[in-house]
Amino acid sequence: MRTVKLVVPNPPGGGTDLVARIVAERLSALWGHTAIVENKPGGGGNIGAQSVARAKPDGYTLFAGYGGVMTVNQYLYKNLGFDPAKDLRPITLSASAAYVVAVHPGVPAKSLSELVALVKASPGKFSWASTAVGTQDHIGGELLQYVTGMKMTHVPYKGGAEGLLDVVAGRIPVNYVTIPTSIAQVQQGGLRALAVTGAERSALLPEVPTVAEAGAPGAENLTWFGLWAPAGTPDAIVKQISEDVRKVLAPADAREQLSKGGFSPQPMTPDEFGAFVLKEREKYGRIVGSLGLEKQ
Amino acid sequence: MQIRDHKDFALGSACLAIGAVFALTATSYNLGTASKMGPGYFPFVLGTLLAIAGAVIAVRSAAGGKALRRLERVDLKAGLLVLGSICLFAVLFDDIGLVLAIVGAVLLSSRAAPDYSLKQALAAGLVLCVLCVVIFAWALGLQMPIWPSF
Amino acid sequence: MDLINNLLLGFSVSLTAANLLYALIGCVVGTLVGVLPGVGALATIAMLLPITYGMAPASGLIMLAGIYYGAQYGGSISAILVNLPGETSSVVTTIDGHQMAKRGRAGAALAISALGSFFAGTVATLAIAAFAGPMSNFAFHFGPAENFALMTVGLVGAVVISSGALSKAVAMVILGLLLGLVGTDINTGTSRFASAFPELTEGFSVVAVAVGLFGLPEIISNLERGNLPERILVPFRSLWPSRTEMRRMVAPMVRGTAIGSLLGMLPGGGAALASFASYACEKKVSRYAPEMGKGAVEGLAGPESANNAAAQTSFIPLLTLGIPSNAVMALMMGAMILHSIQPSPLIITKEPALFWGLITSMWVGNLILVVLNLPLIGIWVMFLKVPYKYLFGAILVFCSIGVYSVSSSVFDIYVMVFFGLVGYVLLKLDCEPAPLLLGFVLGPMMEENFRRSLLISGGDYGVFVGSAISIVLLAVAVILAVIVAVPAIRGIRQEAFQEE
Repeated sequence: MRTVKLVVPNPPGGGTDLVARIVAERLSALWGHTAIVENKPGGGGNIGAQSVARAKPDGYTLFAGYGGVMTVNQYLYKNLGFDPAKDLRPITLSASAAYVVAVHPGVPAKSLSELVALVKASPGKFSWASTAVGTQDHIGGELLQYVTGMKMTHVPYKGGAEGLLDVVAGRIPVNYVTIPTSIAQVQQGGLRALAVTGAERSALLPEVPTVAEAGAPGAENLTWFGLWAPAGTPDAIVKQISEDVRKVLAPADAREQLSKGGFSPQPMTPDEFGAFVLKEREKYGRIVGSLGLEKQ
Repeated sequence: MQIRDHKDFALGSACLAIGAVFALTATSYNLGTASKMGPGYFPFVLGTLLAIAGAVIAVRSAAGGKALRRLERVDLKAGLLVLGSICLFAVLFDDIGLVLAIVGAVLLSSRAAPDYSLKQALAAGLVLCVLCVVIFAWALGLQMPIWPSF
Repeated sequence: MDLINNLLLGFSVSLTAANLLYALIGCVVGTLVGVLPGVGALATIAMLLPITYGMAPASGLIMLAGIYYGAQYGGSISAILVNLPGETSSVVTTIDGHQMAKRGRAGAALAISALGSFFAGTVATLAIAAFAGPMSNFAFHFGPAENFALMTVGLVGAVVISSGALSKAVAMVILGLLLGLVGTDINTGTSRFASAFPELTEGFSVVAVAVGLFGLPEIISNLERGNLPERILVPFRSLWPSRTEMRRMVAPMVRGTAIGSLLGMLPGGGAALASFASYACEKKVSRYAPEMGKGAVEGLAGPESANNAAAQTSFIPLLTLGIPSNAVMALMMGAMILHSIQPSPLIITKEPALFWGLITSMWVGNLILVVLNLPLIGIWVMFLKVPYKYLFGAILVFCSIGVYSVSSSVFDIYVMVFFGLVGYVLLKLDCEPAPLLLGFVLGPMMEENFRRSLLISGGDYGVFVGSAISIVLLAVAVILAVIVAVPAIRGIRQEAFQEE
């Protein structure tokens, strides 16, 4: 039996990689032959996606990517090397995680609306920490500002944890970062969480309201991971893999393994997933357009 | 003025040229201002500094009192064979796999050493293949093409 | 005393048969991946992370931590024996370590590296146990401006470590900084100097650059007409350090441990700087400084202790603040979260057995590494008895596979070849590549922190002298620069006088 390859467009160690490894491990057990993860990072995720887009459409090479590559990148790069709408077929969403909008405890805002009022009252005074320009974290933070009408200076970091340190130390007032990265500081009072960006509250931070509850509906932003196959992969194979992923993510221990990492499993049928990706693409297209970033 | 230290002169000129290329390319990005820097600011400043440092090195190579130093003769064969065999490895690797790429690279690089017969190199290459497959593919579980894929 | 009770509790966890076995497995795997260029702790831990899910939390963490410091140790082995730095932290080891090997002291060099690492590991572990709480705040004092000041000291240090002319070292540092900027600017998303190659979006692979600059030129020059050594080793008298060597390693080891323990706690650049900082320090304070670069014990013992101490103390921000200081620590955090353990100050009171078990296991791991590796020195050195003509082909292939494996990228192999060419040209021009590499590593961090400081201060340059830490660090940089520059300027004047 040939090995099934899940190509991850990131180096080992991030959320995309972790979720793909969990899925691969469980698919191997279900199928009785190996599914492995291959890391092909670089080019903002485009290199990995491109390599799968060019692979044989036989179901043995799959793309285990994240939202940004398939929705945001087309607005950031002149030449992706692949067409996210045509060259890859959606199979299923695997898991997603929400972000936390948090402030340093010294900031006199107890809720998101108080923060918005505070920022609007002193223009040019507030800055927020997040990851590099063009990442899902950054675009999500811009979306929040777009929806609420507040304007803050973006201070980008290579990784979310690095920025967290400056926020906890009080050098930067506002933080936009994933739940797993910030939860330790939220729980021990180094940060005050104002809202989570999921449609529902997070099991890890049940007392924190969603952005919609906090008065900013439309600012929802998830970092999500899914599976794609090269265009031309037969319907039957795509459908089978989609169902198998649903099957392996259903048991309680699989859900627990993911939720501990801050992810919630969310399998979809290929059609549902395709529609979901389309909607995300439109949403981020509007935001990126409003930022006026030049394509690279 | 006469160049006495040829090595320093070569190094200085190279730094001058590389610095200039970086600085000029950087001007095509947004430079910004000292208090609000664009992506081009840092590379522009550094490129300029490198060009200046290069110029200083080059000019000082002509200073009196410097010992006369000429460029060494370079044995092109060794360099080309070593770097070439790695390139050969890279070219072969993706298409026909680890094993043949190793054999090819070892055979080509063996030409750089005297008293190294092709037979010896082939034997060494095969031993190395076994080692690499065991260490990288089997023990470490790294994903890589091992055999030609047809 | 509390500390002793805590340590006893810790040993009761780390000395169980199962955990000893996992520490042993971690150390062995770590040493193996450390010896191979490219294949590093980061990738290995990421691959093994899902497996630890099925293990007891303490066992899983102990094994992963073992891989981490095992890899540090393994990296020194290939740096000393064949001039191949497996990671940034072992680049400095190649300078004097490999020279010692060439002089027939390979065994002694390996032993010094092992003993230095063990000493540093012991002290750093004790430091974590005793001061983890108070020291955790240390990281908070380092904002972007302080980090920038630290990088500045690092760059001046890079000039100090080179033994050649000042102007050349400065040029190499700047060239390194520029090469480090290749890739996407995180502040604007602009792709710089990389438009021709999408593979360069995230910059050059540091492993490809390090192996290319240090490993390949060494091989080429060995193969040049008339240079071919029968074997790398000249006949050696003993595998062990002599009494003089032992005596000379003590002071650098202590200084290196102190430097590494402090820098290791800083996020990002700290651990990478540690070995360079220690080397620069030895170069300034050691009596034997003139011998450095030619195989001096000081140039090996100091940095080797520093990088191991830094590897240990980089656990502090993670364990006490829940903030990982580098990519490997981010993975360790992932492993803890998978086991429902939230790294934070509360971990000490909520999970004392796990916390102290992990800390004591670091010391146990270091002990295992020494016990394991001292007897192995003979075997490692045997590798060098393989005739060079068989050895160099194997090194080329290992480098290629290792560099490829970092991101399954054939492009990175070409990057290595390119930097091999650069390194060879530098070698022919008598120019040292170490300052270039340090500039390359620090370049992006320096720019990020500089621009970040200004973003936060709203463009006010006063931010760089806004705290005592940054003022002191910048003053150190200036003083170091003057110390280095004065003899160099004097040198120019001497040249001028000779002309008359």
